[in-house]
Amino acid sequence: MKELEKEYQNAISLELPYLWDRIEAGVDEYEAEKKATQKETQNETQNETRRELRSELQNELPNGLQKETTKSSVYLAEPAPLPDTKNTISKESAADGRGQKEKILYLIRRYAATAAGILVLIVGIGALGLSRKSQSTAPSESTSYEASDAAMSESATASDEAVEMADEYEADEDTADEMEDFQYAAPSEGEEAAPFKQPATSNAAASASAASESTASAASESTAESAMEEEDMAAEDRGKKEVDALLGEDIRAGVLSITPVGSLADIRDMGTNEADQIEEILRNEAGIHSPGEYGLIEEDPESSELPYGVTQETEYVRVWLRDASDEKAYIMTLVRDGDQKMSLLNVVKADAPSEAVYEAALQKEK
Amino acid sequence: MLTEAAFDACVARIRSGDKSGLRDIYDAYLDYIYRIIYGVLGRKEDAEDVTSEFFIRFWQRADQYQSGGGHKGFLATMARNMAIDHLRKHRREVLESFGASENEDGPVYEPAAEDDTEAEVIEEIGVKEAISRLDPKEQLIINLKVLSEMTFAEISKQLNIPMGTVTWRYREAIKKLRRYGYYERA
Repeated sequence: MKELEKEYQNAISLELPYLWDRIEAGVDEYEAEKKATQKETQNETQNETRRELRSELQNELPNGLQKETTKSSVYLAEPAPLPDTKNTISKESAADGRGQKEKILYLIRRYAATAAGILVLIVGIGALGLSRKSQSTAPSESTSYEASDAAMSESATASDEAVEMADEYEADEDTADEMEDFQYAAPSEGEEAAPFKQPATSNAAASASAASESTASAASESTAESAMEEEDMAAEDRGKKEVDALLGEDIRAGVLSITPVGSLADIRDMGTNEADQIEEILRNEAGIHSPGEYGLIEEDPESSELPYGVTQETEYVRVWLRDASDEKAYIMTLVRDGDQKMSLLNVVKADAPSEAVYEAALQKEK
Repeated sequence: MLTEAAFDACVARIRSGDKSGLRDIYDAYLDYIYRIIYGVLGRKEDAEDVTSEFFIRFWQRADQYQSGGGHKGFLATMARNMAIDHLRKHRREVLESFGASENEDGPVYEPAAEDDTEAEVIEEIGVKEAISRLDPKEQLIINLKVLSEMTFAEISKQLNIPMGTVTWRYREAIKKLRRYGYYERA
């Protein structure tokens, strides 16, 4: 005769497959997916950071522009510095006088003989011309004034332009305000609004909320995932604790079914409602109202690991039970009469299941 | 088999990303884990799939293992749970076949021989062949008890049948196997 357990386990071991390559491939795949997920998460975080920075910059930009434009308009509105007119005029008139004199002397030299009278005339005219020039500086002064006027007009033009630009900007601002008003009105109609001045803010808020949402969802996902893993582990722990509680203690079954295990004759004699009968007897006759665990006692428990069964005397049925109220063990002996209805013979206390079995054996001997 | 300290050292290596930790556990417990899983599933291909998945999952969840509770029991419980989950997902009919007959009409007692021939060896055959000659339900209960090392209470809970029925079918199976020269260890 061969031992079943040993033989069967050995037979399975002989057919043990080699699974390491497959397992290693699975581990590598898991690690690769894990790294890819971590990289994606990192990239998403970086993108979110970039988006936030961009939105912050956009938020600052309108104000920056405004400041620069204001500075330039102030600059343009200032009149250009006027040149020093007096100095300019004197220099120009001196240059013109020298030229004419040379001309006259040249003519005198050339037509000396006949030009005496003309010379006198010319001299007289020349004298007159000089005096005119000295009297009025209007032609040269007007030129410089024209230049300064031109400069002033240019500066005025520039300042006008600057004012226009400021006006335009103000118009833009007004337009922006109008747009703001328009777009602030939008939320009442629709969902999304992007005011001109505050698009960056809303975008920042949206991106921040999206980031927080994604973070929250990622956190919730990771939380959910870890919660599931924790649940799995808790379930495994519970299963493990149940296993530990049940290992080696088949007698503590807590099962209400007391289907007997024994000879065929005994099985045929037992009715199908024996559990109900036994419970009724326990309540009404033995005074045990909460039988937490019970089962039939096998006559020879050492031959089997099962403590359940019937005795070989078919008219007696012995039940081991533990009362849940006081945790004490009992052996109850029932006797079956002709119509297969059981009645209580006696109840014996036992402190431990092993003692209960021992007591059952003693009862049998008696 | 590994000692608790050796097992914990393997787990520490796994947590640091060292596959040799998993390999050592694989070498020490493949036989044990495969046998438990085969006992539940009864099919070689399914047992190979679930056993591979077992070690991969152990790698994934090594961070959650807490030492001090008995690693062998932990591995056995994890293997059984995975095998039963696989059975529930892919071969539910195996579990449902127990529930239908046992729970509706009560236990079905198959008549055994009344003489003592069941105690005599009538034919010596291989253990796997002997077990294949049992009723499918008896086969499953023998596998769960002998290979997967489950208690009768656990078997009763997983198959959702009364424990008395489990023990009855087990004892009938044992009696039949005696005919082929196999006895149950005391």
